[in-house]
Amino acid sequence: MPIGVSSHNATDQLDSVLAILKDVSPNVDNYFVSNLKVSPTATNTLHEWPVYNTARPTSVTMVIEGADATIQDLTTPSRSNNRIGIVDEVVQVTSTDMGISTLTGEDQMSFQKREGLQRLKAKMEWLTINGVLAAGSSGVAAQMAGIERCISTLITARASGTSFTETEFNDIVQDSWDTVGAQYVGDLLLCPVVIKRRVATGFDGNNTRNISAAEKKLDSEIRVIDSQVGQTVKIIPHKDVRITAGSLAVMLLREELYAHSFLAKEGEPKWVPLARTGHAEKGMYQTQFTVVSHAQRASVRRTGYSSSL
Amino acid sequence: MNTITVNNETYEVATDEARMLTVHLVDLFKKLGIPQDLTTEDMTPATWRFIERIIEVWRHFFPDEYMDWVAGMKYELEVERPIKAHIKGGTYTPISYPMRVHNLIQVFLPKLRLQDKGFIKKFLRRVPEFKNTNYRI
Repeated sequence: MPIGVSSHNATDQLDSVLAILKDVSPNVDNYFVSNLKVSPTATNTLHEWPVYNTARPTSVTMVIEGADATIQDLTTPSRSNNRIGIVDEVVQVTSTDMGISTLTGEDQMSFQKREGLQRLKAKMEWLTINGVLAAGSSGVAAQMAGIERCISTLITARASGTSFTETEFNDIVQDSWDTVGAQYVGDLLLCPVVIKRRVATGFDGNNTRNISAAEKKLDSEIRVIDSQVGQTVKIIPHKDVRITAGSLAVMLLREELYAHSFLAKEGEPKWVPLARTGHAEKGMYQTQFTVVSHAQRASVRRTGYSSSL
Repeated sequence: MNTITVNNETYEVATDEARMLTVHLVDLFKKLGIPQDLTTEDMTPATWRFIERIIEVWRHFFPDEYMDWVAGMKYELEVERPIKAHIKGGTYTPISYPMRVHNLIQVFLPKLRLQDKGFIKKFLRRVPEFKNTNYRI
């Protein structure tokens, strides 16, 4: 039966496209790139700084009346170091695509540059935590050690699947307290979100709660917990901390003892336009930086916790 | 999305609301003369006033988030374990910060240790909604 024109047979309709883009990419949570302080610039690819530590006496021999002064060998600060790593994020858009309207109405190059900067930031964040030190050589990139690899004194590998309990948490804080002065005891627990969930449920993953439909639970908070040692600790759940079953990592840090250091003149993140080749415009965001760990012995790393609630 | 071009660089135009908020907080921060490297030991009445204003801004411009927070915290306090269990376990949560408030404070005052116990006690006298325990801190 003829029906004139309907939406099913018309061939001259315009598309129905909303100009709303909800970008929910997980690469915007970058705690350290946003919060870590920046230390003075590095002037070479091997960046060094002094570290010093004196242990507490465990026994004391008192001096005999009238005795001569005796001297013992004294220590001086030693060097710690990390490598400057180069990170970039290249953006290229063809001249053809730049002439075509996009769904959001935004210029393609502008969109890609904004997203490229976000990806660079996420790469920097990942390296800040997980970087693995490598000196590099001709044709091989140098790599910096991230916070996890900077910690070398207080490391404990728990049996795979160990539950993260209150005792574990308090032991971690105690490890730091035993090793450094009270004003430098770790105060930031860096962990995967599953560990934060365990803490939120009173360290008992089976703590079932009956929630009425009208009630809501805190789902986007920074929790501060008080330990038996007396130190209050801020819990930062982080997407880049290792969560692999059997090697899940938890780190207690003193944030002010870590910093980013950028290579002089060239190191700070910046946009570098590249020469146009053929029918495409391109450029890149680049940075050259490293992680400075002023006193890693204040930090604690434990691995092996269960990756389930 | 509106864009603006400056020196051949294209920038996204922020919403009027975001611009207004940013200008207001940055102006207030400058007027109060708060140093950016301020620590928990250097808190002054002006700094507390600024932090209170951040909370006011959050309550006013993110009302749904605020209402969710109040409801969520009410629930948290209802299901908090007894104090004996806290003592036996060895931990408790004195405070939680909404992510947005935490990040906003850190932007202006990056060296402020929000987990400092002395700071928490004073902060909770001004913003009791963030107290995450029924017990005395």
